[in-house]
Amino acid sequence: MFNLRHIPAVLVAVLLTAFQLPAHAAPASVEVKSIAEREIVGVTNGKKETRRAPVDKAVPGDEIVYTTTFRNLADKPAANIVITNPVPNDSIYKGDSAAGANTVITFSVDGGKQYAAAGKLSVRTKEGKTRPAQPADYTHIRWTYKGTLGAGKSGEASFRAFIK
Amino acid sequence: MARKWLMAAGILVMPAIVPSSAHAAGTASGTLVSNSVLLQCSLCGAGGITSAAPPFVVDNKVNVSVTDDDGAASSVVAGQASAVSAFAISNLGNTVQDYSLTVANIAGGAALFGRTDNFDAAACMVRVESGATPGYDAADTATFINELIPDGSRTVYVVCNIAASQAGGDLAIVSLAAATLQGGTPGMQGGATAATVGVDTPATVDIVFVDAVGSDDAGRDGRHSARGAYLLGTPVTLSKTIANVQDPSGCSAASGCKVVRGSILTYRIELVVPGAGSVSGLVLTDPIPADMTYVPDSIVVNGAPKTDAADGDQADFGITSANIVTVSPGSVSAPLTIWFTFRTTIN
Repeated sequence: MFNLRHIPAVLVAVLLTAFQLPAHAAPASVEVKSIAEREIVGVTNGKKETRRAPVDKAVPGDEIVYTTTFRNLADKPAANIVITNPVPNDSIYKGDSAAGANTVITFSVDGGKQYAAAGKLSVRTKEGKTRPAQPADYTHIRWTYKGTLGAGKSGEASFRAFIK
Repeated sequence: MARKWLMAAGILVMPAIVPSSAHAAGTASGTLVSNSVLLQCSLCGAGGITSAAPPFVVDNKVNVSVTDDDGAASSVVAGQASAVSAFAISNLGNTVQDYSLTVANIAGGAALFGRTDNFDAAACMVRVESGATPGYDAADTATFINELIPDGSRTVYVVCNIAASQAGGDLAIVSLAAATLQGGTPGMQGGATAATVGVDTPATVDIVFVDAVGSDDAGRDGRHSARGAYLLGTPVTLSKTIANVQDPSGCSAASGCKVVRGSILTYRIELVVPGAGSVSGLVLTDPIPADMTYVPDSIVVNGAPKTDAADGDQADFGITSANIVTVSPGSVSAPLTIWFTFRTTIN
C-alpha cells in the first residue's frame, strides 16, 4: 500500500487536480445571459415609442445594444461580482453608454490587462506622445458590482457599440 | 490589491487592437460579430462563467456614387466624333459589386454649368477605363463595371458624336446612371440586387440600400446618377491687314502710296471673340517680317499708344521675344474685340 509521506509533491498535485471538477461542469450557482439587440423607434398613436428587437439588418454604422443579465441561483449571497466584456469584434464602443445599477464601470485600452475610469485612460501615439483615450480605443468594459447579490436576486449590465 | 489598481490608473499604453477589416466603407459583409461576457464571483468557480450572445452577420450595405469627372462641360466642335464626357463611379458599400451603366440624353431646357441644354448628342455609348492608358482610347471596351471592391472607384466615359450642324454655344447634357449588381463572378455581369424585405435572418447576408438621391434617380434604390455636358466652342476671328502705307515720296491715300524701299507700313492685327466666357492669360504676338525694320514706339493697342519697354502697359517690342511685338491683355471676357497696330520700314 502507498505510504502517503513518500508520494512526490508533483504526483500529489496531479491527483488533487484530477478530482477537482472543471468550472463549466459545476452546477450553475449564478446564471448569466447575454443578448444583442437593435433599438427601433416607432410612432404609435402619435407617440414616439422605442422598442428592442433581436439584431436586424446590421450594417456598418448601426448601433447595437448589448445586455447581460445575471441571477444568483444559490441560497446564499454572491460576492466579488465582476463582469468583463471585451468590445465585440469590428465594433466601436459608444461613449457613456455602459450602464448597470450598483456597479462601478471601468475600461481597458490594453487588451484587458489594466482597467481605469473613463477619464483616466491614456494611449500613446505612434510619435510617442500621449493623449486621452477615446471610446474607439477601448478594448474591454468591466462592471464591478458593489457589495453582494442576495440569493435569488438579479442584476443587469449593458452597453452600446457601433458596427465599424 | 485596490491600491495597486489605483496606481495603475493613467498608465500609458499603445492601443493593442488593430482593426481587421476596417476601411471607409465599413466592415465587410458576411463578417460575424460575436460578443462574450465573463462573470466572476465568489460562487462562480475558479475560472468564472462565460456567456456569449448568438453571433450575427454584418449585412450588405449597398451604396454607390456617380460623379462628373470633368468639373465643366467638355469642349467640342461641330462634327466631332467620339466626344468624351468622363465620370467617376465609387463603391461606397462594404461588399464587392458589379454595376450596370446606362446613359441618357437630357431634354432641352435643363441647365448645367451655367448654360441651357438645346440639343442631344448622337449615338452615345458607355465605356469603362481599362487602366492601360489614361483617357478614352480603343482599349477601353468594357460596358459594365466588374468586381469593384469596397472603397474602389473606376473612370467611365460617355462617348457621343456631335452633329456637324451644331453651332457655337450649343449645349448637350447627358446623364450616366450606375445600378448595383451582384458581385462575385469575375468577368461576368452579376444579377440584379434588391433590398431584403422582411425579418432579418442573423446568419445570412441581407441587402440594405443606403445610396443617396442622384441627379436622375431616387435614394435607396441601389442606383446613382450624375450629369455631364458637351459645349460647342465659339470660333474666334484673327485677322492681319496692312492698315496704311506711306512711301518716301510724300504721297497721300488719295494719290496712292507705293510699297518700295523706305516705305512705312502700318500693320493691324485684330482678334474678335464672340459669345460668352472668359480667357485668362491672353497673349497676342506678331513677328516683324523679314526685310523690314520695326519703327520704335509705334505700338497702339485699342487706340492707346504703348511703349516698347516691358513697363506694365501690356505691350512691348523685342523684350518678351526678340524682334516680336507682344501684346498681353491678360484676363478678358467675351464678347470682345482687341486690335493693335505697329509700323515697320521696308529695308
